[in-house]
Amino acid sequence: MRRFDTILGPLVVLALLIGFAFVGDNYFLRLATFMLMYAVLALSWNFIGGMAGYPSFATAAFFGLGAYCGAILQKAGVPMFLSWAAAGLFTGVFAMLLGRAILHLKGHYFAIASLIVAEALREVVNTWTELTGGGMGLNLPVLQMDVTDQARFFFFAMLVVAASTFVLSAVVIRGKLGFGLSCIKQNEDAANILGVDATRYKVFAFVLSAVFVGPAGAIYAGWVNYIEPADAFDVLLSVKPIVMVILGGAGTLYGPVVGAFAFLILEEVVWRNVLTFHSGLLGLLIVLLVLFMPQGLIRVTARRLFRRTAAP
Amino acid sequence: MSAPFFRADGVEAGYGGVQVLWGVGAELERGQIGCIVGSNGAGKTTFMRCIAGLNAAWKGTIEVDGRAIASHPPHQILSAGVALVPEGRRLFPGMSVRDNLLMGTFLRRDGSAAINADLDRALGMFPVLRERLSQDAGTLSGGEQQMCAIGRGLMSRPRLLLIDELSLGLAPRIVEQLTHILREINEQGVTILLVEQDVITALELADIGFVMDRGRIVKSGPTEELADDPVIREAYLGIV
Repeated sequence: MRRFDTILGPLVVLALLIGFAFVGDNYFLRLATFMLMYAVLALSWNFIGGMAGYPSFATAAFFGLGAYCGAILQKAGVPMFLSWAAAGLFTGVFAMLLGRAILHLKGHYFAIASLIVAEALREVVNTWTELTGGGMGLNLPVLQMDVTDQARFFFFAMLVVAASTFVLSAVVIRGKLGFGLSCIKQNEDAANILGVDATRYKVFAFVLSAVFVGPAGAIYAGWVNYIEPADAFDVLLSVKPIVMVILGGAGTLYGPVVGAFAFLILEEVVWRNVLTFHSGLLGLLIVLLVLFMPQGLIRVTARRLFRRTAAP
Repeated sequence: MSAPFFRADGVEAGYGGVQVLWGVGAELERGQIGCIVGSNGAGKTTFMRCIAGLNAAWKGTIEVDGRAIASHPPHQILSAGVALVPEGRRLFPGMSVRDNLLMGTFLRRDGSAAINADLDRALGMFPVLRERLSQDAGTLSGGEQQMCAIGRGLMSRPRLLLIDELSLGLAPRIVEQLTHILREINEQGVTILLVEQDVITALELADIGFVMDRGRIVKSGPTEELADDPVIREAYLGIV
């Protein structure tokens, strides 16, 4: 029964999302697709940042790589779904090689090393004009579909990726890998002493933080039909997931999802109402939230509920 | 004569460009207790980290039961039967005492029955921990933390137990208690190598002593002999 309880919540959310796709208008579908994309990025970052405690800024690199990989393959005539899968594979292999190179660094050093990867890739894409279109960007084939159908299609595509990321997160958090990662986060030396193969675990977490971001980037490219280096490798794509995870609750299963949802709502509301100062106000709100709930939204509610029931 | 159970020979190691160990050698027979003494910065901890695989040995061999382990990754050395109780205990605060102890079984695949039996045995050795099983390990006293760390080391069923700085920061009464428990562990067949800055305690507890100075073993032998050595008495015991 307990097992059923734990999957009931996610199933209800999933059913609501599917139903929503058929009643929501295009604006809400667009927002919901963004929310799912944010959820993918946040859940992915949670593997390396939340669980292993390695502050990765490589999300934008994975996203841009996936977007370009998907777009280039599609232009070359590869079927869409296959190109998305290939984007995931390519990004995963890239993360494995990158991880082996930079995961021995810790703290700020690791953060900086991961941060410059997106910058470097952007420059490569900028100059490799024959393949990537350079600064002019890349147009993707437009789907022969009704506008609403198209919005719904990309919503579902993003939903599949988000759901997969969530399921894998659940498996990892409850498994030996998640346990090992949380040990590494607390004390890597001690984790090593106790037989956690820290190097392998970290590389694995880093790959996990990339394999779903790649397809999300590829789907995004198909969705907006046009990508260019500054957009696909935007540094905000690295920063936002971190904010979402910290907002929701780092290292937890539901935290990143709640954080992505809360962040999107905040972003949208602030942007719509205070257009001229929206990033300033959004930043301020996030600082306040993190200041007053450093453990994240998810732990605040859990603790409140606990306190209520625990009182004699 | 058969090869000794633990043997290190010509071990050189360091950090970055700084060499700390300049050819360290040591041998222990199965079932012995060895201790490494020496002043601060002599390289005792570095040597222990080398044996456990946390630092790479630049040169030299380290063997346990005939198996070469030098510069192997830590998890392989642990599965070869070598467990380290690190300096400063390194427990996981935020995790319960029980979970900390069970962390020692991370690599074991022999099922929960055997693990529970070992947990029981460890708790029999350290009754205080039984009372604190579900308590956060960060709230333990220094002595209890050291007990928990030794217990955690034992949970991996080591054949060679390395203990770095057994008595550091602990009350004399606790140290005495710990030395009794270590003898008990040793009698159950675990070979022990410990680093200890309290030379009197170390020489009392161990069978073989190694004196380390500036990255070399300058003297070694049965502890009774070392305790009588006038040079040692003057340099480390302050007795002339």
